[in-house]
Amino acid sequence: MPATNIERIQEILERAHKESITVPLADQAAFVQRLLGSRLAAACLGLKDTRTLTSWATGGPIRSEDARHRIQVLFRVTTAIDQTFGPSVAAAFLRGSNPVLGGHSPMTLLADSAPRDSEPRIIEAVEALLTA
Amino acid sequence: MNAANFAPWPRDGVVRVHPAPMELPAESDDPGPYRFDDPRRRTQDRFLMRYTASTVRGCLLELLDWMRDDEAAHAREASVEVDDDPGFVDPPSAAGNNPLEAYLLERRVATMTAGSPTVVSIDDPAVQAKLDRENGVRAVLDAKPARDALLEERGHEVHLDNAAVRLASKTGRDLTQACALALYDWPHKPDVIHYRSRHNDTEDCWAIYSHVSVYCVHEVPLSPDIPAHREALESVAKIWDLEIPTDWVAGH
Repeated sequence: MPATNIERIQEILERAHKESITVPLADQAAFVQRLLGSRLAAACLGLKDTRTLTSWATGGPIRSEDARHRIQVLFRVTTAIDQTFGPSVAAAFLRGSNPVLGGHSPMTLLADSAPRDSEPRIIEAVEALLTA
Repeated sequence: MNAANFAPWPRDGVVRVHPAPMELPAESDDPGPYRFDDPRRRTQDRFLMRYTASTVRGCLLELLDWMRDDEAAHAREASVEVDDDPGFVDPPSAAGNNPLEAYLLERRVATMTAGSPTVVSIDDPAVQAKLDRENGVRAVLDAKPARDALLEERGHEVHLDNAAVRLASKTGRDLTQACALALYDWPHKPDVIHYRSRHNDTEDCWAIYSHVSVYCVHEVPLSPDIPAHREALESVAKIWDLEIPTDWVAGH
């Protein structure tokens, strides 16, 4: 049982990271679709339609390495914020103009950049959100 | 050097809005995400910061700036073609609750103070001139991102000034973090850095180094039942067009 608020936040961040590596990708896709809604989740993943996300969430093939990585980042972010503040804050965070990201939203950064570049920046913004 | 004339330490203390406002942030091997956090990786001598303001409104301005709308994000979301069951498009879990209410739910407001802290103001030109000559600060100022952001066309050298310390970007954060480290390394290290909110010049903010003992004057939950809290939230929500939670609306 974490003794302090900051220990609780650290535990949530660590668990979200671990689960983004261990939980099957289809389950991760289904989780973000269910929690955020198809449209928002698809936008964060850089998709033009929700059909592709539904396919991934039901075990369809995910062919690109970047797409697989984006799902993991989105799942990690969404899980950590949801467990701390609930789903509405996760959705608002993804859509908001974030000062840690130079005014970009996490959604556009994740959708438009290589996830290996965007992941550390977005996680920094999540940590700022959770610990502020 | 102190900020006695520039920004005197508030006699009644300073305010922090946080779930555990007297708690220090966690130590980490990585630099922190905030303006005056220690920029060093894996250091034995890491300093931590408590971020406070003179008023609850000042705290909320700094706390809620991530909630401002991003037009590009809205446009992208609107452009997604939807062919799902409606229950999957806007699930009640995300759409039904006010994010502002959820984010503020368990927060408390602590008024805290320290004995007679030594304060420097990052907005003080004398402090800026001294920091401008510090190697760590110069390294950030002379790097391309800062030159691109701050140097006018055919300019020669970037100096630390009010524009530089208020830069809202990663470069701006690198700069203020380098300043915080340089100040920490001064022989007579200050206890507190005073700065003005980037969102409102009239709001004084105070980053308190972890080597300072602070004590709590009083602590209460952030609550719509306290008029000062409600007015502060209304003011900030109005600036950024945030939906005020029902419980926070006056007369509710």
